[in-house]
Amino acid sequence: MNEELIIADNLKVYFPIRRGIFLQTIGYVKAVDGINLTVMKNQDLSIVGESGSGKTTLGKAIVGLIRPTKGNVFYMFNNKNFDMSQNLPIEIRQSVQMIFQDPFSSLNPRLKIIDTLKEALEIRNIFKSRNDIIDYLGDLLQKVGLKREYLYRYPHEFSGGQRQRISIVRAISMKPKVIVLDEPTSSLDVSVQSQVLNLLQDIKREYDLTYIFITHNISVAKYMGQKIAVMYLGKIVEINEADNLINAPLHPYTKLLLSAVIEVQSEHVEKELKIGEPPSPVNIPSGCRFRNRCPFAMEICERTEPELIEHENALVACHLYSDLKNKP
Amino acid sequence: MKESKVLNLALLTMKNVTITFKTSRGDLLAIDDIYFELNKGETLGLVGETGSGKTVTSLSIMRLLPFNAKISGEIFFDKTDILKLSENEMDEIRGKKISMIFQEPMTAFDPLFTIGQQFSEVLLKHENVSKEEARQRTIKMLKFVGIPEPEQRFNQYPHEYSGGMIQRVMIALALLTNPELVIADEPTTGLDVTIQMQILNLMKKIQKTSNLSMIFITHDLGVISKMANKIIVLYLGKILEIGTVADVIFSPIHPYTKGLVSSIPTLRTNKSERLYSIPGNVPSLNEIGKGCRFYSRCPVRMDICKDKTPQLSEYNSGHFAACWVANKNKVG
Repeated sequence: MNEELIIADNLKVYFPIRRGIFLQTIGYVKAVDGINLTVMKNQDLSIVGESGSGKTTLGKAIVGLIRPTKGNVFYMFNNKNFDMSQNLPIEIRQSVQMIFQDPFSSLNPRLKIIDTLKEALEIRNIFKSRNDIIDYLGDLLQKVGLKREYLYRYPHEFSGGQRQRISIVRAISMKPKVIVLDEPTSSLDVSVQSQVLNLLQDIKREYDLTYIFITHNISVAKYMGQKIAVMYLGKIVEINEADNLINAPLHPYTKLLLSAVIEVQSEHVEKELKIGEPPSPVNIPSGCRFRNRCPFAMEICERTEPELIEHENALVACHLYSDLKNKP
Repeated sequence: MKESKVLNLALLTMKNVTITFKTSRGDLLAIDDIYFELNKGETLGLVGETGSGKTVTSLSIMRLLPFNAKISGEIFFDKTDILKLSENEMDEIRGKKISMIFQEPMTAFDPLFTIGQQFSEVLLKHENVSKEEARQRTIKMLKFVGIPEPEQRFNQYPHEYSGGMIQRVMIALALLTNPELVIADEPTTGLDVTIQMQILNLMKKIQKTSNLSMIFITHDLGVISKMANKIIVLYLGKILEIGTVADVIFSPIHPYTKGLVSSIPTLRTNKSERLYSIPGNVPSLNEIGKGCRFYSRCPVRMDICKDKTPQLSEYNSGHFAACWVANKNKVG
């Protein structure tokens, strides 16, 4: 059961900033800045962070939609190790799928649903006839709670929740092993969000999937993932079992995020948090990138960037838990 | 006797307001006969999903509805029916006595003018002040909402502000003329949780320090439970439930409100638990029948719900809901 599925090894994705008539590179947006991560089979991982933390870029790099600037993403398929940034056989590539945030822009408005969905199947050439494809896709549509005849409609005829279900069909029709979901419910109404989350849980069980679930909503992250990774400015600052991370957060940033969560049931405590705003990923502070907002910032945080270290079964990148803080 | 006292307190009264849109596919009933009052110093939360009419309601108070909208009923603001005012008279109220905080501050500001110019314009239009006075008041207001170095910020353009900061500037602009009513349309949607917390703390501070009335529009029940005194639950242009935060969030009566409250995953939700979900989608306005608007999705619907629209009836003092099932249980 403890099978490694995806390994990110010192993954870096930088986007150059170009200015002037010769488009000289004057700097980099360090969207993902050195991430080490292991996703085990059937151990869903949620990735949380504020906007600009690099969650989406990380997701795209895992799927192979963005080539890493440095480092690698390895993917285990039939006990063999593949580098996602290389040209891979299509059946391997298609076994890692992605579901995007905005269901209004992720479906081609000019194509009927059937034409969007059948394209990848035709490239794979697994089905003998067009009718087989239609049967297969019709079954899948019913599975996600839609009707067979929706195959012949256009995306604009559907609501946000229905479109997201169609995106789910597009992903699972490839019989994937891993799905990266980038904020799949954040543009949906509250009453529809819970339907889609339940559906995703059902599908996961049925298809033996592993999810990498990207979200800014910690409550949703906890509901969807066994583990949660917290990202801040392109780095992972803490990874732990979901329950432990919520109940006993270690990193000051995780604590900050949790204290800012507003829920119906929670008592309102007037918190005068020194919250601050994240610095831009172009000018990342020296040492620990969270130190400007950190209430516990020490001298060492300015000098040395903390590594992800093990502490009480969690991985945390903070000098509060490292041995370095006691050294001069 | 008691009633007249209440009337005196009310700053805003929406009296049997109905709004229809003329479209090529026929008339759409966007707001169906809503009635509510907002007292001075009170914050009213308007909760609803896509198409519930939250934004249309707020635009009707500002008299900013598009030309194909037809509105009937009365909207009393400070004892005058603003629907009867001329466009010039309305100009005196809009932006001065009633102001609005929009959802997307980045697009609500004009990118071609500095923040200082946009603030000064409001003051020069509504109040008889000199340019220098306008500058001073703008800087004071920016300082109040926690913008660092307001003197420099005065001359900057909207794009030079971050997302959280520009939303605070938006709030500052709304408060600039000391309005009596501020309408905040999803002021924290799309912001990060940490920045959301800052904005809500700021708005709490404003609630405490002034006698301002606020209409707070959101789809986030968590946010509304912290901000509002009174909550109205809208569904497809109808008020389904109205009451205090304690009433509506903690002991909801209407099956729709119950569903909404229990379908949100929280930090305490267990992974193995199945989330409650309201079946189906919010239907579009041209699909609704003559009965209860929630009929197609209601888990406890009865025959009567299909043909007759339930009226709001009082369950506890001040707690109203429009539901035949609840009504039946109440009676016997």
